[in-house]
Amino acid sequence: MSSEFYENEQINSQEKTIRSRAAFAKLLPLLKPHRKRLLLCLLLLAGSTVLSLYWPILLKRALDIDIKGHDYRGLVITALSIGLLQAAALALQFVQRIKLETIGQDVMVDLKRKLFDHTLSLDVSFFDRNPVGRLMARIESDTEALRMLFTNTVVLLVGDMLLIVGIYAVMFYYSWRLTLLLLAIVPIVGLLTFIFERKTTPRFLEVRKKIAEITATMTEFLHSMSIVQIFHRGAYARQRVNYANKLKFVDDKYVNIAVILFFNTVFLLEPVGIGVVLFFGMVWVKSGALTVGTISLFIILIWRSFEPIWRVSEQLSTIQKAIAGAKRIFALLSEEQKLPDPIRPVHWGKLEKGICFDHVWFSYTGDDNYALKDVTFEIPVGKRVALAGVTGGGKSTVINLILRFYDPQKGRITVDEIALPDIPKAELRRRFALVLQDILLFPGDVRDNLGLESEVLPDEKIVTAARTVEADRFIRRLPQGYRTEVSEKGANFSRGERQLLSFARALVADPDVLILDEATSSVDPETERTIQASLKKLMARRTSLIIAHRLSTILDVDEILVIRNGEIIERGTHTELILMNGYYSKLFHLQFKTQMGVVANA
Amino acid sequence: MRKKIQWLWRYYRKYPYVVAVLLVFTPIQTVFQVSIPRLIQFAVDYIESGEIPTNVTALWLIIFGHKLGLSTPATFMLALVSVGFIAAVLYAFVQSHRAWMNLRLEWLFRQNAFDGITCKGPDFFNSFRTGDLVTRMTDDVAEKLSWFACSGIFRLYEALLMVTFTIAMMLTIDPLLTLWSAGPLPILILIFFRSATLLDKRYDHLQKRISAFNDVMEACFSGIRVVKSYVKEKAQKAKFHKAVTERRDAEIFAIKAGTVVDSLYVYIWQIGVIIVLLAGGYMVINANLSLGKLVAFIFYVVYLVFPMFNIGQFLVKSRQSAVSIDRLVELEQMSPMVSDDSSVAGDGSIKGNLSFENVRFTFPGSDRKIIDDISFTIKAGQTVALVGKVGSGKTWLVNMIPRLVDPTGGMIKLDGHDLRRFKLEDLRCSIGYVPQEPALFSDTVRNNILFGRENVSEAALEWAIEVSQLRDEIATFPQGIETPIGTRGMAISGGQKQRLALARALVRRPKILILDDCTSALDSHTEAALWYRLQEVMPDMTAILITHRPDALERADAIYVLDAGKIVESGRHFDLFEQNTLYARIYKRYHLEEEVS
Repeated sequence: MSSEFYENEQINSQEKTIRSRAAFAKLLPLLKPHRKRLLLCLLLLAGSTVLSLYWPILLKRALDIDIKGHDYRGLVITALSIGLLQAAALALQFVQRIKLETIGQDVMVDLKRKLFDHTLSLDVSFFDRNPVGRLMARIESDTEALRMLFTNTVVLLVGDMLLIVGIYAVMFYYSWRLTLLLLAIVPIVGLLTFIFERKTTPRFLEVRKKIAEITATMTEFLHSMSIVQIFHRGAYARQRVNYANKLKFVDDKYVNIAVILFFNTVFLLEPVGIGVVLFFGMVWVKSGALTVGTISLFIILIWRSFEPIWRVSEQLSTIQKAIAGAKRIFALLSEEQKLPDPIRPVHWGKLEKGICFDHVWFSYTGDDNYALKDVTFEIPVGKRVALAGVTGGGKSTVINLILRFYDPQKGRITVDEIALPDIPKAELRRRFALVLQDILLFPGDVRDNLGLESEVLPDEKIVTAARTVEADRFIRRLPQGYRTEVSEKGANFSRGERQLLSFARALVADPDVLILDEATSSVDPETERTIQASLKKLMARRTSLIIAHRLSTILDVDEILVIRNGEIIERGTHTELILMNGYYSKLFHLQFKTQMGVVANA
Repeated sequence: MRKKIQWLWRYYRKYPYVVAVLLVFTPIQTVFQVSIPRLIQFAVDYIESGEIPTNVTALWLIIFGHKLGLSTPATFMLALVSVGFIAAVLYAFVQSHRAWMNLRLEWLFRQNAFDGITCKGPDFFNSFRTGDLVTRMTDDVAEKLSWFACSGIFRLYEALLMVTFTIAMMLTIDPLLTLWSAGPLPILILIFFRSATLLDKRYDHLQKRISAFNDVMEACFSGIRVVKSYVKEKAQKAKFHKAVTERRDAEIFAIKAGTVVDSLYVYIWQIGVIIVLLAGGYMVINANLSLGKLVAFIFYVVYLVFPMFNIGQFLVKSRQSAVSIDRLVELEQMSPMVSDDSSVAGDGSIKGNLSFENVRFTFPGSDRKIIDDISFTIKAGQTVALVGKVGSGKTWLVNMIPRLVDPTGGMIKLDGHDLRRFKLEDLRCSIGYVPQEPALFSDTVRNNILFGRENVSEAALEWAIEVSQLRDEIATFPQGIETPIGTRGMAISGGQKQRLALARALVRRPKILILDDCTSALDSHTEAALWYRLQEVMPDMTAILITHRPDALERADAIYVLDAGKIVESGRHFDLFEQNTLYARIYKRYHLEEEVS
């Protein structure tokens, strides 16, 4: 599939706040299993917050009573009490933070597993439409952003609200008149926040869009840089990218300035609050209603009451990212399987009669652009059938349909006369073994790759299979034999070795039906000989469907289906087809004849 | 480190105004900020003693206030609020400039990196994948580097100023007490340095676990067909779970260390407050210090907390940013493969006589001879065909004509002058090139054909469209020639893409036309019509075709057969075909392919 086929990520300009809340509502069930721990966390948070409110009160005592009363011993006790209380508050806070992080991590582990499991269950067409990188970003970056948001929001919501309530409660206790005045701060901050949110949230979205534009523009030009240079359009490319950069700059500037103005206006209330406190302290000095200690207490509490706002200002971009991430995650979770398993499954144990394609029509895009047109053929049990044709003719599509990666729009595919949709996919696929051109090896060791991690399989079986396809010899030569780790994308094996490994894997699976997409690239004659010998063993008495590129294969099969533009135009054995002197004959000369030299020399 | 500073300075130099603002106004703002506890001190002393403090500033304030008809309390309050207001305004001013600079730097870093890349040769694009390049220019630049480059550095400046001025203020109140209370400071700095290495190790370990986690996902999703066909979903899930759990453990391990450091840090300054209480309280009790001064002192100690935090942050972030700078600098290392020396002006006077003289080409750092001593000439107006297997060097040979790369040996001459002596722009503007892969952009049909070139008449555009057999089809597009074609031309068919690329090459009536297997996606009818029209147009140009088409080969003035970078056969079709040549075999094969497709 060409990369042009990928669905583009649209940043929806209609994103409403309602949807963010819906997204978060879906997050809540994830928290359920951790209820108890979360509660403990909140209690610890409450505890440490309350304790941390104590030290300004003790400071007041130190100033008003100990120092004023010239009681140095008292002062020492008070000071040490502050130390102890703060240590206690700190200890509680430490435990709480670790616990909260752990919960956050655990919730995200659950979410990641859910995402992975769900994605894995989606059908192949989803993977064709979405590049691997995008899926990984969902499961990795978006969940991480969400986790950070979770950790910060909990603190924000519970801890900070408690802090504010606590602060005002303490202030009220010591001077209700002053507190009432200071309470005016709250609605002012509320109003400012509301205005700010309204004005800037759509702009935040704009900035993200502009960033996506920059990325898209740069990617396009980078991808085709040689053409840009050949036409000497470097200046044009630079200018286009510059323009995209400029647009983002303008929007981002607005957002940044708005943020700065907002927060500084809010923080302005700090000196205003302190000023009010001092004013009344001086005015009421005669009545002694506000002592120095009380004033200090108030000032410190006012400072602390702005802490949460400062926290939010630092976290603003994280919050934005997390919200966006949450939406994408839930979009992924709501993707549905297009090929569900049957409600009343028919069980199919072993291939007895054969596979049949009955007037099958299939289009990848769901419209008139058919990749297969009225394809009808049979693979009787024990027979080997080959598909021949030029690239894009429809051969791979047949394989996609047999393994039920897609369903045909018209016609039926049956195994032993049972229609494919009636068989559970897992059961169906267990009886097949697929060997592709690009041999994909997974992280793990050789044994893992051969058995595809089924611990139930005894080592014996794996070794026997490897020996049969002549892979055993080179595996034993590896540093740790079967336990040798496979490097990224199997780079530590040669092409020929990878092919043998994939044959071994197929043999281990001991399938009823072998599906093989022969590699087109050539290897040295020695390896080619080994591969051909292994293939013979693999295909012995096994029902097989092969996309043939090897002369030896073509000569060996029971029937050849010649596919062109999605239709079977000729069929028969090799000899019959050559005698027809039609399309196959020309194809043969083009694709296989050149190999005769190799076969002759083998 | 020095190199990195030099690298940054290159950018800062351009904005003296902003730098000046930041350098000058940050200390001014800090002074105002730091005055607030002083004012609190005066107020507290007044409350305590009932008398006006003897400090000069305080007296001045009260006199000034009285002149305005304000009571003493009102004066102090207004003074405090005014100072706070000015401090806030100044801070907003400074912050805005910082933010502006952050964004401007981000723009510049990205633009400069991109600009540099547009000049790099194919060897660069072989070494760096597009995804990687884009990540460096977005993630590294925006997330890590640009914030640090301005805000990071100037916040450090701000923090250092704050610490300095605060301690200065504290010293003016009482030097001995200052010594007591600033004691914890060095310990804090020590903690930060020590913890850096411990945290590094743990975060490194975490990074590895994250990579492993990503690897499992990548392998599984890329090989989804194998996973599904062998029904190994369960095993993959188990594998993934293991990787996720290991990652979680590593992260919690790292965060534990980070939290310990943070908590220790917070507690240390608390001890500072306690020390001030004990030492200062003693002094107040013994009447060596006013209560107001003690209160102010306590607040100054609190003032020290924040900057310490910022300094710590700076140390952490500077590591990350250093890595990002390295990643950007790495892109600058490779030099372009081709440079513009231009001593000969081209343009109107280019005729299109090409001659290759003992041309050789290998990639830097490679032994493989892509072009191995090729010589031939093409007269202006001739049509030449290049034929050969995949990897025989055909594409690289024609790529040397617009100087995508230069020969590593020998010379190519145009109208008798070495190709390298032409102004690059003039040279390339007289060449029309149609690549194998159409390489179009997400823009309108018109803009793809024009490709940013100005001074192209409507007539020329019409002509190019007509020759490329696109006119009728464009008429059926929803917005005609202004129809957007989608990312890389997704909205149009393969055949339309190829013809669009051809129109793009033709629109400037090039003197040299290079076509690299450019009609493969067309149906035979359109292909025939296209070539018919092209044959009419080509005699005005020097045409070099890499083609399989039998009739194009038959009509060519000369055919060159390439194999492993050398010309092995040459001549006209009929001469070559008669003999038992490599060409004959290739030709027959092409013929078969035609019939089969």
